[in-house]
Amino acid sequence: MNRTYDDETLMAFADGALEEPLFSQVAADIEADADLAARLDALVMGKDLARAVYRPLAQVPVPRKLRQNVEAAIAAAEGGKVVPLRRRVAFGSWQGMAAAAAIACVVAGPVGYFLGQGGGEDRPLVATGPVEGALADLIGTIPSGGEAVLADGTRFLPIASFEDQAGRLCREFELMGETAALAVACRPADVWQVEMALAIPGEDGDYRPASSLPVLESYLSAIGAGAPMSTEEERAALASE
Amino acid sequence: MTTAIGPRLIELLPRLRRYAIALCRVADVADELVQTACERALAHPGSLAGDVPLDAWMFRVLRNAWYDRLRRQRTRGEELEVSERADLVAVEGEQVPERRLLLADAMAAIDRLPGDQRELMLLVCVEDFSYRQAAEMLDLPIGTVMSRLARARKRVAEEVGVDRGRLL
Repeated sequence: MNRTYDDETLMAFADGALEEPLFSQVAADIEADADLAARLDALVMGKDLARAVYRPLAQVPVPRKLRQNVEAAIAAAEGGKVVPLRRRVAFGSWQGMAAAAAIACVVAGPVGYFLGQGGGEDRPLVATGPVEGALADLIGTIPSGGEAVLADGTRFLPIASFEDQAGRLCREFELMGETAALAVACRPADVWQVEMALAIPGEDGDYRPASSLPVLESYLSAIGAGAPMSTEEERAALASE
Repeated sequence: MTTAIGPRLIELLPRLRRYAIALCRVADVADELVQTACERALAHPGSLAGDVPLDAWMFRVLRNAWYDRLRRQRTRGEELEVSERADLVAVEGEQVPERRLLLADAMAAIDRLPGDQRELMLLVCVEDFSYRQAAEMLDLPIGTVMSRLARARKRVAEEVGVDRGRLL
């Protein structure tokens, strides 16, 4: 016997939204009726196409400006205690070549000690190079917006993760200890390398180097830093070796 | 006591943005809409009833913001500035040319749907809301939701071609 069904019923069947005994009845009729099967096919295909088109849109990073505006609205409404409102780097605003030239000085300067890797009386502020031990573990695991403390009490505060133009995973973070630094570390192979580090005001705010932000921005521009990753993207990126 | 919704709002942003793009089809406008919706939600967190999921509530707030905007446009004769079409985002990363073409055609077909059908495609097919949830969000009878959605799915499949669709 040939029963026919309206599109709504066939669609509900496709979506698993039909109750028994109707579900089994439709299933049997589709087996026996090519026209019915073709109509069902179209309804399934329509759904599959919509998913294929829209699914990737939720993977696109939220524009930084939108995210910042919403974070600001949250801070205004909820007192700023709920979402860690760590400064977001302005990846989009380039500061020009003058500031870019300044990076070379900062990075190449004889600034010696890197936080977490030793120390000494004559302690310069920051330096670049490979990172090992506990700090490397923290760079590789703590999500942006989170926080961890090193054995010497220095606080590790990851700000954002991104890819540079070479596709390397990079992280911007702050270290707050006896000295305070803003740094970018990238992972070219399986070793984190601090590629840029700047002295920043410590938590008591008494040391204020000239304009670390423009220098950072120029640096990020120079390495072709992409937009900050979403939480999920960052988790996936950190998990992959 | 009201619970802070801020952190969950941030998590929702990609999905809110996608819904906004489905509604208005222009990325810039979508971002403004998402921001307006978040500000409204933060200003009236008490209107989130206990048993309504935050995402469904936020989608509704966003939708209201969109319709307010449309009304304003009609009264003021404002034009939407179509400066950056949001489409093709999904296609850019696609490596296989046939699939790329297929997705571009599917996107165009979805784009041509009436707004109310396109919105249902997003809510039910992509966001996996049930027919009933979608009906509640849109203040429509469930029968209307189902007939519009079935029409939309059939039309997109027919425009793209069911045989080609198998490339998916």
